[in-house]
Amino acid sequence: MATVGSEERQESLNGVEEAAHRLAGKYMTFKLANEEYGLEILRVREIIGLMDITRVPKTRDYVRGVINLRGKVVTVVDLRVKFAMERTESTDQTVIIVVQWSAGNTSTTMGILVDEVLEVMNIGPEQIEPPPDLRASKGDTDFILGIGKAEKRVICLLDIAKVLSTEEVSYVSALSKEGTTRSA
Amino acid sequence: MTFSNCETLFDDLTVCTLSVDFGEPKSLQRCQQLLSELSSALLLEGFSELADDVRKTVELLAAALESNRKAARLKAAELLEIKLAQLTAAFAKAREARLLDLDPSSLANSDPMANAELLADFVVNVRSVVSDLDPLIEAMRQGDLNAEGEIKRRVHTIKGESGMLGLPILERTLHAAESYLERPASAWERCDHLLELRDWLADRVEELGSGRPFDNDGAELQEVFGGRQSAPNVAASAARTALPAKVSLPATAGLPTSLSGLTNSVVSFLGFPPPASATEPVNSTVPVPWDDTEADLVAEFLRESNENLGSVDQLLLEIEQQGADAERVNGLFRVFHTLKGVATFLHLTQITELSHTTETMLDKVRTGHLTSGPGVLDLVFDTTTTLRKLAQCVEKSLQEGCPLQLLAEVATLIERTRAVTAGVLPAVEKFEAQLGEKLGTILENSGAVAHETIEDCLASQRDSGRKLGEELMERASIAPKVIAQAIRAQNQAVVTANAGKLKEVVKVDLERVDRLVEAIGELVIVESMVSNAPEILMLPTYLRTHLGQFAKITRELQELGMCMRMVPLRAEFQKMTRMIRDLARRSGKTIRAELHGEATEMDRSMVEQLADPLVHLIRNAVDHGIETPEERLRSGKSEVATVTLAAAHEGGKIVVEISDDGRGINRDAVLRKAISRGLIAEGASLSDAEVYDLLFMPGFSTAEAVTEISGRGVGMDVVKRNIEAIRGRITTHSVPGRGTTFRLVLPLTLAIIDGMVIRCGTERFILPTLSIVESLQPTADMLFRVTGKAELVLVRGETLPLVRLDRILGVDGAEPDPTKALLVIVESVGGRAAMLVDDVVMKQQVVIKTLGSGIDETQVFYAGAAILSNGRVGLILNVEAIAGVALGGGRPALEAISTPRPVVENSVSQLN
Repeated sequence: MATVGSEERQESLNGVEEAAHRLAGKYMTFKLANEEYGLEILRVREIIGLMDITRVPKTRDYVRGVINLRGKVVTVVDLRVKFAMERTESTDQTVIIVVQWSAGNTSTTMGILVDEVLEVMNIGPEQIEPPPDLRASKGDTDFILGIGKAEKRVICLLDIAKVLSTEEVSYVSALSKEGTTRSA
Repeated sequence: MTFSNCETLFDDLTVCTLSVDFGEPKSLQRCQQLLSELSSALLLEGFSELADDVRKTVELLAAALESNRKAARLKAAELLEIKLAQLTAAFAKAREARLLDLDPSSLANSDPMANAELLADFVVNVRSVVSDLDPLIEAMRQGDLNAEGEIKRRVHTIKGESGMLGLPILERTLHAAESYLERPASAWERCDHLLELRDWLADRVEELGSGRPFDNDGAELQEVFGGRQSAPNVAASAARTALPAKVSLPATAGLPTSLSGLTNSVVSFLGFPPPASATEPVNSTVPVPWDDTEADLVAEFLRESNENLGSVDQLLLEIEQQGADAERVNGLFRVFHTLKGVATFLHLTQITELSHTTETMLDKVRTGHLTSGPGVLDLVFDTTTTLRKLAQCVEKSLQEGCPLQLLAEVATLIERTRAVTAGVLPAVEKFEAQLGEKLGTILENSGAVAHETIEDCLASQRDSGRKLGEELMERASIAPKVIAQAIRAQNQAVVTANAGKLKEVVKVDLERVDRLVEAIGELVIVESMVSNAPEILMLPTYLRTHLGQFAKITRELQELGMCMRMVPLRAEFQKMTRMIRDLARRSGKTIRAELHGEATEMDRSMVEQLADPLVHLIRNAVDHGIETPEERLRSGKSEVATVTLAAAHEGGKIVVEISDDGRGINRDAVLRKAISRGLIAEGASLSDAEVYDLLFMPGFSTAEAVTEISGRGVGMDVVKRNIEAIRGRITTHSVPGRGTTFRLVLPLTLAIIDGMVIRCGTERFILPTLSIVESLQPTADMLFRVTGKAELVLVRGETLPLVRLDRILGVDGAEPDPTKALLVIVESVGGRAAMLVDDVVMKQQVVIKTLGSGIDETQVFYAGAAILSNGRVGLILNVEAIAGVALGGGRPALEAISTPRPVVENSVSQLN
């Protein structure tokens, strides 16, 4: 378990508070295998219902395929597969969240396939905790902005750009379990 | 901005003083106005002392204007001359000093953001100038005077801009180049130097664009161009000391206008008589107006005026043919002005008067108060004729010491000129001409010139290379006026034919064009989605009519969109001709470059992509394909070799051919080399095409290979790769001893391709039509298996590897039995292959899009994606990679072309 109160933590306490303030804001939350995740609202471009996805054979397994988003070819990533969760059949709740971010001069648009979109919620700085140390479970927490807590719910706030541009993030589910246990 | 503003004002002022008529208050007023503008501009720029000086001059001028005394005005004018010379020099100095310590104010004071933007603009501008220079220089070499003017303008513009941006190295060098262009030199030398300038500029602008410091300060170039000029300083002193008679034509044409202007004005100031109101009615004589000490000056004057009048005729003909631009009219004006000045000094009254009236008329033309119509031009022609006669009289009198004869026609001529100046246009003598009629024919029909004379001149024209008009003037002493009138008639015929064909051009950001084209592409697809929807049939007729209209407009838009990105290949071809010439000179060969179809238009980005392959192919042709002159003579060929560049449309594709008439490819040498490197098996029988394909393999073109075989192969893999990158194909054709032709087959555009939608199991893919050879349903006896693994198909005597698309891509549900499916024969770098697909669904034009990010970047099986007519995304297959799996054991594309096919062929024959 990631024990809070290590020396490092103490030293960077101010930094943590600062980060919490920086991260506070509106998040769009969605469900993935009964776990809750949050995306910075500014990264979300639109939400579209499940549509015809063209499979791209011989590419990474978590790539569900490509869609025609008003003339633009957009890659859709199955977040379940990306996080090494069990793959399930799509339901009428399944949607594609189109996210967009820029790095340098290039702006990237991608779609992520999630089980269900929940809501847009405001998360205050006091509700945000730094990402847990997952080194014990061989995890890198780079792509997690922090852990949001609201009315006993635990929301893993994702840095979606990092999630989608990092090759291996399958340990995320390990993390989310961790988060759940900790809050429980 | 003000910096260049000052410069312009200085220029204007110089011109103004040049034309200032000291008896006229109006012209002084104009000077005054310019001076006050200059004063404020200088103040803005921070040259406060200079500004003060200018202001004082303005005050003095104002005082002079108020006084009604002519003497006072003359005094003021004189002062103005001196002052201006001083100012010009001082300004030049101050400017130079400022440029040398780089940026005290021009950069530091201004907003850095704005400056970065300006710099970016500048870089773009210079780049376009650099790319425009090549064709311009080429045109100039061929004697196109417009091109020369255009070059000067371009150089001047970027010089100004670089000054504004505080780039002294660029400014100095360009300035040197500009001064160089003003001096007479042979066209060849000029062109070579200009090409050097172009290359130098291209390097500098790239450094500028990437933010690197300049690694060359242009000193050598400046030396080439004759160093930095400090004309204004010279002008200041020259104005005070130079003897009027020393003003020769080269000085007038070569030095900045300020010098000649100043000198002339001083001359006029020394002894300008008021224009005589009445002239002698009949030819009479006056005593020789000069004394012995001046005789030399008169002789000098005669020589010069002869030259000057010649240049007038030349200018007039040019104006006749190419229109009266400011430069030419100014040129005319200057000549008469000089003539007037010097003649006045030498008391040659008739010449003075005639020049003066003509000058006044030309000034009106110059300021736009009078159009340089045929009437005006004819008058100037007549004037030059009379002036020549007058000069002859002077000469006679000078040689024989007899009294100077006066000509009666001068008076009438002056009258006519005055009438024209006042706006009365004379009747114009006309020649009749039909469109396309030759100049000689027009002249002959009009009876102005005898048929034999024209024949004669045409014959000698072949040797001299001059224009017929010049030749006629020179040899048959036909009056320039007659020729000008004939040319006018000829032009009129063309103008009538071309009426309304003038083209206007706008420059648009390429990105915007791309976006537009992309949007049109979308529109086309959406339109076909709507039009093909089954529900449409249930719509009422009028709606369907509208829809038909919609479809029609969409297609029109698509065509327009495609055209927008199209540029002619001309510029690129011309660059290549230059390269051929350079290479030929270096390798000591005589090569003629021939261009065909350079007007063929291609997608802009394709033209860019084509540049590298063309360079390599041409270098190859010149270096290795073409023999030395001795060798050529020995083999009975003409000493002059030919490299031909040709472009043409062929069935929706563009074909570019590069051919030489050199020694051709030595097939056996290539084979030997390939065998020694283990690329093909000993004794394998290869088709010519296959042998030539070996040349394009990377590494095949090592140095020793070049000398051993006939020398083909340098950079050839680059050629192949680049051509394939733009989805083109290259084929080679060679006849030993006769030459080699490389044929590049390219798609019209990069954005849209013709695709074939194929079905494979549950998936649909797009195959570029360009790489499809044919499709067929195989019978069982066409199929073979080698060593139990590799599957082969025998198609018309050719054994092709069978590519099972479903297995390569991991697609389910495909028909495993080839005889129940379809074979699509595809062409790739490595050779042909038979791709097994379930069905060919349809043919469709698709807009190519990059596959969205997030797809494995290392995957090579897709060339991109496209939106299909049903709105779904379709994947475009990369034929190279997929065929490469079968052809090269899983390694895709180029490295894999170790062509196992011939080897396989052998084993098949063993099997059979």
